[in-house]
Amino acid sequence: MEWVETTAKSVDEAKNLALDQLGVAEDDAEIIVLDEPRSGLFGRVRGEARVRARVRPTAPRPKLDRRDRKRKEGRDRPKATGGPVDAAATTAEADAATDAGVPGGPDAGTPARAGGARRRGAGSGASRRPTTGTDAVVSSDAEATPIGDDLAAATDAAEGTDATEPADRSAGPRRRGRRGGRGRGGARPASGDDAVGIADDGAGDGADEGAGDGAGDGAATTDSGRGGRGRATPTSTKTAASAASEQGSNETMVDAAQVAEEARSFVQGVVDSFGLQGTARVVQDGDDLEVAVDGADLGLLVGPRGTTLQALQELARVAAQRRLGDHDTRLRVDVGGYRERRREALARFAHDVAAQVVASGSAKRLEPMNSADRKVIHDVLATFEGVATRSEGEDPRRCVVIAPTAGD
Amino acid sequence: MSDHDQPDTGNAVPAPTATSVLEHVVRSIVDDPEAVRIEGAEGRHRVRLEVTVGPGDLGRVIGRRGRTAQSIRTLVRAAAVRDGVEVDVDFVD
Repeated sequence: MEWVETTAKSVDEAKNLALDQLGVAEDDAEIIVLDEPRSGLFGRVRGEARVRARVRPTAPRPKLDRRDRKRKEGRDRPKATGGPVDAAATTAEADAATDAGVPGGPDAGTPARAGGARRRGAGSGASRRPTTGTDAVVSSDAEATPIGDDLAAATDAAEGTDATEPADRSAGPRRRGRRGGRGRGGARPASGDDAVGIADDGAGDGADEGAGDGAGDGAATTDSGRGGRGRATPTSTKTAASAASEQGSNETMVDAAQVAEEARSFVQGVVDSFGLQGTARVVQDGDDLEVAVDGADLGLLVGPRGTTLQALQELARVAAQRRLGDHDTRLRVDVGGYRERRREALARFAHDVAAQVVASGSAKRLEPMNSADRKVIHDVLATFEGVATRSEGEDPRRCVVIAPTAGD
Repeated sequence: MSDHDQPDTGNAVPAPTATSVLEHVVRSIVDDPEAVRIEGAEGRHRVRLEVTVGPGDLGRVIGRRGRTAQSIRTLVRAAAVRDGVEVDVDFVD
């Protein structure tokens, strides 16, 4: 109930409606534009503007002590689990959740008594884990800001976590760690035991910083095994063990050029066995490796929304790893310039939306994207003045929210 | 539709492109490429490819939470488009 959602012909109207419902001035409300009316064929307006708004929580109480404690359990990670933005956001959301009984009053600064308890459940887990009790906070909407046509086709939510996971490897430690936590969060039946949840998150993060991607999941699995949930399969236990040992010996990294060559010959082999005419070549930039395939009619290797390409990339990594052991390079595979084109399109789109957010002063949620695409948005807007980005929701419907920077 | 029209005898490889992609991928991933065997069983418009790998390699082929296996399936299904069939890939001990 803390959020109100309104629809109207235009975003402004929807906003005003929302503000009427909340009974506050625009300055005291936090507004996220969920959907804009888009002009359909023949200039007709299709769809309605939809916004979500709530009273802006003035001073969410910091929960540093709790976070600290959990972080220790989770292997002493140096950074806060969700980063400052996330932490603030989730705390704020949780705050608002507890204020449902105080409609219209911008008095979120004095949290209700029940707030404490509720917060602990929601604040820590909401943004990264489908905790049953916090559904209200994790957005349950099925729609979101539409992306331009060419993107929309490709950014439809990926089929499942598996499909989106490979790209996560290229993400920063923070997000990788989250994935670890999220994955197990989904598998965990219990809700509300957020001490455990955060500890898990921490483990994922900490391990990721120490070792490669394998470590993130591996360590996470260890953690869940220790927690007695018994999720660890023999295979993953093994991974966990080797990942843990890997953490200490990061120096035994293999040469990036070797990795690249392994990956290249693997990809070339795939192209050949597909019976396609294409040549794989390596583009190396430090530890950032890309195997690019040039040729004609390579669409089959890209697949719907890039899923086949994603699989190819994942397998190239596994193959390079098999021969050379763990390595700390980033490996991407591109076919026919697909990723570059997509990146450009996403970047343009992100800038457009960010400009709108700055102009309107209200946050906007993009439609669900896979992790690779979300990363592009985060990266592109990292240097964009006046906005901050975060992801919310759960895969495969996790999406980026572009919000105006606080203090505007 | 099929590039490789074959009678339904089951003698010939039912999905040559898919099979060769599968073989290449699996052999590239396992520790013991020699131990890799692939058998195809043909149904109606659907081919089942059964992969056998050496001892200890199954975990590698399946990967964490089945991720690698899923990627293999995705890629092999794409390859099967060229064969005009749909394939299922199974990994057996």
